[in-house]
Amino acid sequence: MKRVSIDPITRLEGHGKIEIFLNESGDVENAYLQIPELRGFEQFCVGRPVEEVPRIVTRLCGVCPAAHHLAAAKAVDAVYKVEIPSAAKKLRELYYNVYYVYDHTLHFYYLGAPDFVVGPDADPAKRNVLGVIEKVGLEIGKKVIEHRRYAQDLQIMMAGRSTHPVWCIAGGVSKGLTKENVVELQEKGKKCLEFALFTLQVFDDLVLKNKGYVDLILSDAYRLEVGDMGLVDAQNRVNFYDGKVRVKDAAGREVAKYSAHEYLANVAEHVEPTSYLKYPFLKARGWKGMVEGKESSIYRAIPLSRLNVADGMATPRAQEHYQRMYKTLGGKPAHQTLAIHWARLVELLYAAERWLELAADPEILSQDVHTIPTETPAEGVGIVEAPRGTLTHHYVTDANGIVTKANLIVGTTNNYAPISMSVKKAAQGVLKGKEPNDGLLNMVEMAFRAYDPCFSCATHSLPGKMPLEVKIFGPDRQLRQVFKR
Amino acid sequence: MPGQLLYLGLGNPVLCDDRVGHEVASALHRRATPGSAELELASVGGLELLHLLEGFRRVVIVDAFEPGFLPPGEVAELDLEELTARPSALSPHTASLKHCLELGRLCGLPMPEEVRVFVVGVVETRRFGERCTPEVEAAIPAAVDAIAAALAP
Repeated sequence: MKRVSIDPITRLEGHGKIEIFLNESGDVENAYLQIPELRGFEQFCVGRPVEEVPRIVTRLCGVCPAAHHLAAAKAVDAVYKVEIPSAAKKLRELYYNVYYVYDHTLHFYYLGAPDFVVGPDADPAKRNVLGVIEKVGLEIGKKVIEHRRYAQDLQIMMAGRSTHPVWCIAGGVSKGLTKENVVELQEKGKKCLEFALFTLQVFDDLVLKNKGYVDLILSDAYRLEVGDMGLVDAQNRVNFYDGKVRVKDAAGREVAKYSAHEYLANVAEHVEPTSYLKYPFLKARGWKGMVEGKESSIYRAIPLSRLNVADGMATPRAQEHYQRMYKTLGGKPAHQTLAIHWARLVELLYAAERWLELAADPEILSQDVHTIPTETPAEGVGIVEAPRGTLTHHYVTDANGIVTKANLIVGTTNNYAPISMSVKKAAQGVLKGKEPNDGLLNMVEMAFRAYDPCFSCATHSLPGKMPLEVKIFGPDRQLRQVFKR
Repeated sequence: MPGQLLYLGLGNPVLCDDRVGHEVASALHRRATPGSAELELASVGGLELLHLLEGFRRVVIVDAFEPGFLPPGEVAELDLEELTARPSALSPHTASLKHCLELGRLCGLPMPEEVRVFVVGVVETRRFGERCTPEVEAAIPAAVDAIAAALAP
C-alpha cells in the first residue's frame, strides 16, 4: 500500500487565510479573514421530521454539539408550541453548564494560555499546551484532563452520548436523573468549582501580575469598540440556556432586547462583494460598514459581550470576579479583545456555580420531564448562548411537522466582521514600522484566537487540523510574503 | 473497560464522503472475530480524540482524506511520525493526532502502543448528504480489503 507523508500546510486551498495589505509606507492598510464554508445544511433539513433535527444538528459541529442540540430542541418546542416541564428546563440548563465547564476549560489551557504562559513571541514549537505544561508543571495538564473527564462523563450520563447527545426531545428530555446521578453531579460539580477558582488564580498569577501582559490587554491594537450581544435572564444577568437577547452599543446603551422569535426583526446579514461570508449586523441601524464607534451596527457575541450586556452574574463568586474584571479594565462596557480570555474564565466559574445550584435543587429528581406535544406544528425559533456566541435555530414545518425551511445563525458567524476588524487593528498596531515575522504574526493571530472561532468543525478529514495561511500584499497588490502555520 | 483493539472511524456521517471512515471502520469491525475488537464512530478531532484512544492497546483509525490528494476511493496509510506535532494555530479542536498522543502519554494516560492511520481518497466533504458520492461508495469494498491486507500479520 502507498504510504504518504503530508505536510498539512500543503492542503490550504479553501482553508483559513488572513490577507494583509500594506500601503505605500509599508504599514497595514487592510486585513481580511477568509474561512471555508460548509454548504447546504438548511437544505439538508428540508423534508425531514422536525423532531429529528435536534439529533441531526449535533453532527453539524463536533465542537458545539450541546449548543446545537439545545438550540434546535428549543426551536422544536416552539414549533409544537409546547411548554416543557420546569424540571426538564432545569435539567437542560444543568447539562449545558456542565458542557460549558468542559468547553471553556479546553479553550483557556489549550489556546489562551500558550500565548500568555509561554509568551506571544515564543518558539511556535513550544507555544502550545505542552509548552504550558513544561513551564508550569505537569500537574496542571493532569488537572485539565481530569476535570474535563468529569464534565464529559456527566454529559454521557445525562444525555446518552458525549459528543452527539440524543437526549432533548420536543417537549422536554427523554429521561430524568436518579438519586445516584445527582450525588455524582454534586461531587464532581464541587471539584469543578474548585478547579474554576484555581484557573482564575492561574490567570491572576501568570497574566494579571505581569505588567507586560496587562499592558498588552489594554493596548489599542487589541481594542475594538463595537456593540455586544448576549442572553440575559429576567434580572438581566448572564444565562447560557434561556432568556432574552440583549444588545448594547459600544457606549453601553441598550439598543435591543428581544425574544427568540423576534430575531429577524433585529439582525440582518450583509454580503460583501469581495467575500462569500455573511456579516450579521443590527438591522435597526442598517449596514454601515466595518466601522467602530457608538453608532456602529456591528456587534460581537463573545464571552466578554455576554458580560457587557448583562447587569451582573447570577452566582456570588462569579459576580465578585465580574466586578474585579471591570474594575481592572476601566469599567463597562469593556472593549479589550484579549480580555475575552478573562471573561471566559468568569463564565467558567459561573457555569460551575450554576451547575452546583441546579444539582442541589430537589426538582431535578422529578420524573416529570416531558410534555407530549399536542398542537399542530408550524414554526419556531430557539436561541442559546453557544460558547462562541449567540446561536439561533429557526425551523418552519408543514402541518405534519416536516421541515419546509430552516435558518441558522451560528456563534462564530456573529463575529465574522469583528474578527476581521480585530485582525486588522492588531496587524496595524503590531506590524507598524516592522518587518513581519513569525512572532509578530502570532500576535496578530492572538486577536482572532481570543474569539475561540469555530470554522469548519463539521469536517474532520485528516490530517486533522485546519492550517492557516497569512499572506502579505504590497501596495501594488502583489504578494510579498506567505506565512504558513 | 476498553479492550485490546479499537477500530475508530472518523468523519461526519452527514457530510457526503466525509462519512467514508465510518463505513470502512464498520466493515472492518464486522470482519473481526466477535469480541476481539471494539468499534467507535465519531465526528470529532483534536483533543476530543484523547479519551477515545485511551485504554486500548492498538487503534486502527480510518478517515477521509482531503479531496485532491488521493484518487477517490484509494487507500493510503499515514505515517504517524510524520504527522505534524505542532498544534494548529487556530483551535484546540483541530490539534494533531500526534500532539494528542503526546499529551496523553505525558499526563500518564494509558495511550495505545500502536496507532495506525488509514485514509481514503474522497471527492466531496463540504456539502451535506447522507451518502458517499457514487465513485467513493463503489470503492469501499476494495478499500476495506486493502486495509485488512495491510493489517494482516
